[in-house]
Amino acid sequence: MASVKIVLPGDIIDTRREEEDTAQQEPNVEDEATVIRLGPGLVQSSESVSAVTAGVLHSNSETNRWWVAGNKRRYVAAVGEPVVGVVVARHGEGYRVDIGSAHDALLPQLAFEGATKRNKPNLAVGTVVYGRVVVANSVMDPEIECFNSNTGKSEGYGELSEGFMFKCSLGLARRLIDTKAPVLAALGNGVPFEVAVGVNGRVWVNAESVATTILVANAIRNSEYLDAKQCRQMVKELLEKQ
Amino acid sequence: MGAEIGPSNIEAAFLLEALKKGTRVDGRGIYDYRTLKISCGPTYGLAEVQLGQTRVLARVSCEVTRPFPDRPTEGIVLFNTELSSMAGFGLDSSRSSTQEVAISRMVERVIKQSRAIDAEALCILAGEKVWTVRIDVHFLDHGGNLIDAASIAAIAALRHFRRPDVTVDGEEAIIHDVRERNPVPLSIHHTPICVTFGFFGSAGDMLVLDPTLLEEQVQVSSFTITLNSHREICALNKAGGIPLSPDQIQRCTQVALAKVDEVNEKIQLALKASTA
Amino acid sequence: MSRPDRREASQLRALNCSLGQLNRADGSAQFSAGNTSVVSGIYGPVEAKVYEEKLDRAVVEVKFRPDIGAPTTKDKWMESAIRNTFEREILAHLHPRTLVQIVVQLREGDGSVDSAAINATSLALVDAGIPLKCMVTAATCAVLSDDTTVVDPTQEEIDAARSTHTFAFASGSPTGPLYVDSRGEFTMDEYNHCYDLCALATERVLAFMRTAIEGKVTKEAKISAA
Repeated sequence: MASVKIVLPGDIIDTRREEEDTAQQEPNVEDEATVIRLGPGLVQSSESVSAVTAGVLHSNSETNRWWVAGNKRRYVAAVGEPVVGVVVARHGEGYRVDIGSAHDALLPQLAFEGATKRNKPNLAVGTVVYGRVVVANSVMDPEIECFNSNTGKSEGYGELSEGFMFKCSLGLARRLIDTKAPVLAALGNGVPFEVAVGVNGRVWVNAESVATTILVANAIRNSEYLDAKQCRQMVKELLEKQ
Repeated sequence: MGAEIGPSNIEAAFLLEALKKGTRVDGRGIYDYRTLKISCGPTYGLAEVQLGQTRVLARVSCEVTRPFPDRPTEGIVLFNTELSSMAGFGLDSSRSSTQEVAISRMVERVIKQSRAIDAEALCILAGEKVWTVRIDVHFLDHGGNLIDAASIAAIAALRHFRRPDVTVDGEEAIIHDVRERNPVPLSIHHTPICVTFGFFGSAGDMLVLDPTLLEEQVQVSSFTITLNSHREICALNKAGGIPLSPDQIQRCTQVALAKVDEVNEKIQLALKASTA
Repeated sequence: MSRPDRREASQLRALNCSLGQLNRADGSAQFSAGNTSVVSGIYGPVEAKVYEEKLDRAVVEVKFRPDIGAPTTKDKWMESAIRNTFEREILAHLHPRTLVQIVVQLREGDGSVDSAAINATSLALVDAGIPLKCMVTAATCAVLSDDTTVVDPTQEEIDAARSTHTFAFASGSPTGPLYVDSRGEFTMDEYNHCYDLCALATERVLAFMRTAIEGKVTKEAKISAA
C-alpha cells in the first residue's frame, strides 16, 4: 500500500530500476529483459516514458509491463472485452449497437449462437445485448458478437431480456468483473440474482422480484467508493431494511 | 454515441413494472423528492441547487437602465435560461426539442408573471432610471426535473441578492458603492416554487413526484404545479401528454403543498447559512 | 502598496477545486481562486459530426459560457484561447474521427478568469481520462499604476491596473509558455518580471492540482488496492 505511486499526465516514469536489477542477475539475456511493454496511460516520447492519464502506476516485474490504472466514464472499445449495449438501428446485415464508445458498434446478424441465414434472432431497436468486442481500432467502427465464434456457443452472451440496466464508472465495472468483487459476493450471500457486467460501464441485473433487483442495483451503485468491509456493511444494512 | 438516446426496452419495462408495485428504480417512494441541496453565495445573488443528479446554477445581477416608456415606474426583470451542452451532450444543438424550450418558458413565467418581484420597488427616478434585474439560469447537469431545480435556484438567488443602495435628491440619483453603504435586498412578494409530477401507464394512473431523467423519458404526461409559501397556486402547467383526471390534479396539489413547505425551509436554511 | 485583501504581492488567493461532480459529463472540475470560480465539463471522445470529423485525430471544441448574459465576442475569444492552449496538449491522434468537447461555465468572475478557466479545464480533462502530454496550469499578473506587480489580481485590481498578463505553462517542460495574453501598456522588464512571477505561481497551482488528483485517485483505487 505504501508504495502506491500516483502519476499525472506529463510525469516521467522511471523504469530504470527494474532494468538494472534484471541486468545484474542475468547479464546474458539483457536484450530481451530490457524490453519494456507499455500499457494504457503511458507513451514513449523520445528517450523517456511519460504518463498521459492520471492514475495508479502498475508494473509487472516478470513481463516488464507498465500501465496506469485510472477511472473514466467514456468507454473506448478494446478487443475481447465484454460489453452491454443497446440496439439503436437495424440494417441489412445486422444491427448498430450503442456501447457507450464514440462510435456505435456493428453486430452482424449471424453473430449469435445457432444463427443461420434462415434462422436468426430478430432484435427490436432498444433491445439490450451482452456481447464481446471483436474488432476495435481507432480507424474502424467497433464490432461485437454475441457468441464465441471459435466454439459457436453463446457462453452467456446474447439478448438480455427482463431485469434492469444501469450505468456506472468504468473503474467500478472493471472491479465488478473480478469474481472476488466484495459487493457481489456480499449480495450473493443474501439474495439470488443474475448479473452481466459490461466494462463499458453498464451493468445488467435480474432477480426474482422487482424489489430485489432494485436492491442489487442500488447496492452496486453505492459501492463505488466503498472498500470491502464497508461494502459488506452497506449490503447488510440494505438487506435488513428489505 | 453521446447524444440523447431513449431508454432501452428493459429499462422502460422494468420502470413500469416497479411502479405497479409502488416502487421506483432508484429506491424512492412515489412521493419522495430526491436529496435537495441548496447553497448560496459567496457573492450576492449566486445560488446552486443540486436535486439528485440534477445541478442548476442561478445568478442574479442588476444594472441601471431606462424604463419601458409604457411603464415608467417599473423596473425590468430579464430572464435567461439556456440548456448548454454541459448538462448533457448535444443538448444545445438545433436538435434540442421543444420540451427544452418549454422548461425555460415555464421557469420564466413562474418568476416573472407571478409577480414575485416587486417591479415598482425597482424604480429609481420615474421615466428616467430603473433597475434592470437579470436572472441567468445555467443548467450544469441534467438528471431530470430541470423545472423544479431551476425554479428553486432562481428564487433562492433572488432572495440572496443585494443591490446597491440609492438615494434620490430631487432629480439626482446617487448610487452608492457597495463598499460605502450596505447593499439592500430586493423586495419580493412571495416565493413561487415548482413541483413536478410524472404520469405513467396507458391511462396515466400511476404518478411520481420529481421524475428522474429515465422517468421523464418513459412518462406519458407531466404536470407542474407552482405554489408559494402562503399556500397559493401561482401557475399550473400540463404541457400535452395524455389527459388526466381532475382527481389526480387534486391529489398532486395536496402532495405539492407539503413539499413546498419543505423546500421553503431548505431555502431559508441556505440563506441563513450564507450570512452566518 | 498593500492589496485590498491584504495579500502579499506574489500570493495567490485561496484555491479550491472538486473533480467529477457532474454526472452526465465524462469529466468535470470546478476550480476557484477566491471568488473567481469556474466549472469545466468534458464530453469525449464522442462521435464527431460528419462534416467536422478529422480522419487522423480528434477535433477539440470549446464552449465558454459567461456567468451573466449571453455569450459575446469576448467569450468567443476565450473559447479560442482555451482551444489553442489545449489542442496541442491533447494526444488527439489516439482518438481519430472523434470529438472532445470542452464546456466552460463561469460561475463568478472576480479577476484572473482566463487562468481559472484553463486550470479548471486541465483538471476536467484529467478527470475525463483524455490522454494529455502534460498538465497545463495558468496564472495571471497585473502591473498596478504604482509599478508594483501583483499575482492573481481581483477584478478591482485589474480595473486599476496598467497592464495584465496571463501565462499558461506545460508541466515539466522548460520550453516556454503555451499561452500568453498581455494587455495594456508595459515595458519589456515588466513583462519579464510578470513571466517569472506567473511561472512560479503555476508551480504552486500544479502542486495544488496534484494533491487534488491524488486524492481522487486514492479514493477510487481503494478497492483495487484492498
